[in-house]
Amino acid sequence: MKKIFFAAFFATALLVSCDNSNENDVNDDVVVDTTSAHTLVFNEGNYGSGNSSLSAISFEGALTNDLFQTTNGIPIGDVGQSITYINGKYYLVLNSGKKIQVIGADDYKLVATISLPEDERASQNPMYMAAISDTEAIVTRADFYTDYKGSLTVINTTTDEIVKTIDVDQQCITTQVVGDKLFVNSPAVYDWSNWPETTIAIAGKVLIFDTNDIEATPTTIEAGMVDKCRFAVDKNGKVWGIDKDNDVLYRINPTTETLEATIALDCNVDYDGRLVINSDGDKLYFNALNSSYIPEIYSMDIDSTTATMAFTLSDVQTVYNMEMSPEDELYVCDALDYSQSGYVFVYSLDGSIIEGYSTGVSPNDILFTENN
Amino acid sequence: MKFKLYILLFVLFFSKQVVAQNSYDLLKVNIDTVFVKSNKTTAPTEEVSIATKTSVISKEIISQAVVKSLADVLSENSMIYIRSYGDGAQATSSFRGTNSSHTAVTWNGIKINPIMSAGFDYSLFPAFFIDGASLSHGSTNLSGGSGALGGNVTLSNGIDNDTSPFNLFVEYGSYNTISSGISFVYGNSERTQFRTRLYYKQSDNDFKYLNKVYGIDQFYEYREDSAYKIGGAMQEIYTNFKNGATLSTNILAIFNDRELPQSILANNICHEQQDNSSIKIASTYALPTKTGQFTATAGYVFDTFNYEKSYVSHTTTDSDANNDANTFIVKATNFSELSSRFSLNSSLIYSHDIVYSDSYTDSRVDRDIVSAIVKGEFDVSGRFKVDATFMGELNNKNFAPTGSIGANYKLSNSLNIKASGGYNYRFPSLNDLYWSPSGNPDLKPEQGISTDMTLSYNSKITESLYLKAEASYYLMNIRDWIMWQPVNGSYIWQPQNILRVLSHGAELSTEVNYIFDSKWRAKAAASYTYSSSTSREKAFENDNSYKKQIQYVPKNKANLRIGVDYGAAYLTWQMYSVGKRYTTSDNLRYTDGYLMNDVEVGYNFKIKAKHTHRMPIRFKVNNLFNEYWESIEYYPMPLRSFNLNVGFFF
Repeated sequence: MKKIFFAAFFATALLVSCDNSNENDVNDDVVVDTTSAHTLVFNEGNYGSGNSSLSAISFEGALTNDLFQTTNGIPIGDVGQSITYINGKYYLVLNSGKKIQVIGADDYKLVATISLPEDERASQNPMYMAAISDTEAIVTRADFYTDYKGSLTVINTTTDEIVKTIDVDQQCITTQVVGDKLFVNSPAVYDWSNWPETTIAIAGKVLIFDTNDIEATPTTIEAGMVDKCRFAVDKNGKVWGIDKDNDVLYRINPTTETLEATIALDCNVDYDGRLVINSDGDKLYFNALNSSYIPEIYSMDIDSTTATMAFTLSDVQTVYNMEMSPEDELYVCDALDYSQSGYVFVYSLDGSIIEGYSTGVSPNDILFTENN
Repeated sequence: MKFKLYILLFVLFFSKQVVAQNSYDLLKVNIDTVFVKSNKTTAPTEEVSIATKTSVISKEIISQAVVKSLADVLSENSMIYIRSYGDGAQATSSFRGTNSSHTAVTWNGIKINPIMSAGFDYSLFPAFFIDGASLSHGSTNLSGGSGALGGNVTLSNGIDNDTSPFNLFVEYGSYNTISSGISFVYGNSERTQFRTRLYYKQSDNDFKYLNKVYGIDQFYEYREDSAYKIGGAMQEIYTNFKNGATLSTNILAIFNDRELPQSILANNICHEQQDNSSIKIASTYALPTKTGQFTATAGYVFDTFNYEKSYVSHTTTDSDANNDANTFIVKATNFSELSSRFSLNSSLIYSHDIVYSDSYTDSRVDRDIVSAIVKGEFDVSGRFKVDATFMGELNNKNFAPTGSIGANYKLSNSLNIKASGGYNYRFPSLNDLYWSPSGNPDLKPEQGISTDMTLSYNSKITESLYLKAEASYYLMNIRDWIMWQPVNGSYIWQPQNILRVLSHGAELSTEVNYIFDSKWRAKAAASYTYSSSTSREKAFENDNSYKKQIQYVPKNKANLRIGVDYGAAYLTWQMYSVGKRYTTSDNLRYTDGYLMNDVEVGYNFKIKAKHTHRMPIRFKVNNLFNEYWESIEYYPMPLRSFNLNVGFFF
């Protein structure tokens, strides 16, 4: 009996094996045809869970999820915020992860990881990027919990190293380069403590920097903007924004750096409202919520002063982003309940749904490769 | 509603009284008598249904885990899954496929779940302060009130006068982990006895691991922001009165100071820290009566924590930094054997909660809970027993009745079958109700209907071979499961009653004890649990979490513990395994399972002829095969570590 017992004891021990492999789980069999990628979707994932992911939709409509993980054998990071194409590379900005993953646009292989330094701006999360020259780009940064300040961190896009950081007195979120002007959305900061009543603690602004002298004091325009909404540039080179606080559209003249039009909207702009423009640059589209909290798409010609409801997004649970494709199809990100893989729905501009793709958790940013 | 409560109150104390058994009697399922003396400090058996599956963490295990937390003890030795952010970091439970708030934790007769969040953090309770621990599986144990949809963890204290009155241990381990504890008993065991315990542990917890996931190159790094300190003191007073009554008082204070580690995917430039302190007091007066026993308990629980987030440039204190939670509890229980075949156990529990929190809409929140519980047990035939429990609970102004029935049939001297069914509920936590700005005062209680069946075999096969085996199946349907959901048209998340969860599973366990001769003894204990816990209601049309496993509830968990004694020397091999856990509600993503191996060898040096004077020396290797493992994805747990422990027992 004793022998049997000890034999069983040590047999059990021998059955235990361990894997001390230092190799990442790269799937070398995956062939990524970069020429066929029409749309890249950066999925935010869940805070602290590290399940951000990258999805690709081909020109033929085929969906590939977890493109980064499959190609590189590692997860992207925590809270995917934005994807930007600069000089043959995609810059994937990780918000709470406080780093930027840089991948080659031709093979999606990781070429660099840019980690923000542990300095006095450590509380600021990186948000969006824009190239300001052939060799430099800025990443906007924002503090959401302490002093609500921001900054622009300049990155050398050749070496993918941080060059310097310019402090800004407010949060810096989305960006748009028009000529040699860098538009930065510095949105309102809300006080939610008396929800459902909300008040604005810090008013929203649009900051206009000179890309030739990024450290120069920016022009400030007193106009709020939905925080993760990108600016739209019309065929005349004018910059449009959307203000949730006052439910207005506004137009900025980048030459004079002045607000030249404000158009009142007869709808309730969503906190996750997005503003996009068609490929001709003459018609704006944005989303709002009706009284039953069903998302709706409104449209307005750039020369008009009235926006009208175009169609309802009845298939969408939670609009999390929206972009217009070069083919004038509306790509709508649906985050559902943020705890599972969301969808990207493709709508024609007459409101009919063309396709739906189950991507990653909370699809957050969309990039069309034709715009590279 | 009030009328129903009055009826229950009336029934509660309307009972004939006969001589009682000891309220701290041995749970009859415990067969640890081979190695250790029976545990006299587990939950009063008469409060637990005869059909409730109960498992006991043996005193041997608790004594070996003296430097560990309750999280480690349960993770390695029970069917509960412990979800941990790391050694010393927050650790919560999943019991029978439920979440942490569905496990009730009682200590010396009072419920100690935090009243703000309801989910108990097992890392904050050192095993050094436990003498007895048992688990009631399922929702049919109503002894602590409502809320235990998954089960109960019952912790208790008591002095075993057969052991040494003075205990001291010191331990040093990897990652600069230092632990020490001292316990001494004094006074007169016939009249009033005192025991004082002091405990302290600190660890840098800066283990080295290979980071394979951060960036383009793999690299070795040391775990950062994971140091912790925990300490505490406990005073126990046990008094015997001439009339046979006893008074036991336990006062426990614990402080904890820990860094909160970040995901290894993040660029770690933000540092978080949390300090917790708690005071627990429980005093129980037990009076034998003509028909049984009357017990009165008064308790107080105080929890406070402070959270800080810091950066190089500045330190910020989150808005929910200061939270003080107070609970005052009184409980009266009367156990009566009305006849040789029928007994009645009645309890009345009143608790008053007061929370001062910056995180609530009102800086002070009060809550009153009154629970009246009646359990009747009928011995049908000597082999066949049935019982029924009814409870009415008034939670502030909300009344909820519940109950359970059970049956226990002795098929033979060694074979037993029991089955139970019940309805239980959990009132929303104070965070769910009052969190600013989006607490939801309109939340309904979560409601669970459950049934289970247990077949057990317990036999002394030969003079030297003991065998115990148990198999259970359970089925549970929980409605109005509370989830925090985004509110349309805002950035706000709010708790809502949205899920229906169907949980079912099997629990298998076995223990074998074999005595080879006067020196050689061996023991093996194994358990396996299968938990399927799935969402059964779509929250919206494209909800892909429908019929999928709840996040971080493993379907498979197994433990194996093998021990060999040779005289005063022993060797223990502990294996525990957890299967993959889904990290998204649609089950498309998951974190891998793990299998851990710990080995401990020890020797009990006798200092004097008297058997209680000894100096045990123990050496333990944790994570023997140096495996990288995670309880929560991207939060690594310690790799191989060593501990040397020296004890002095006089």
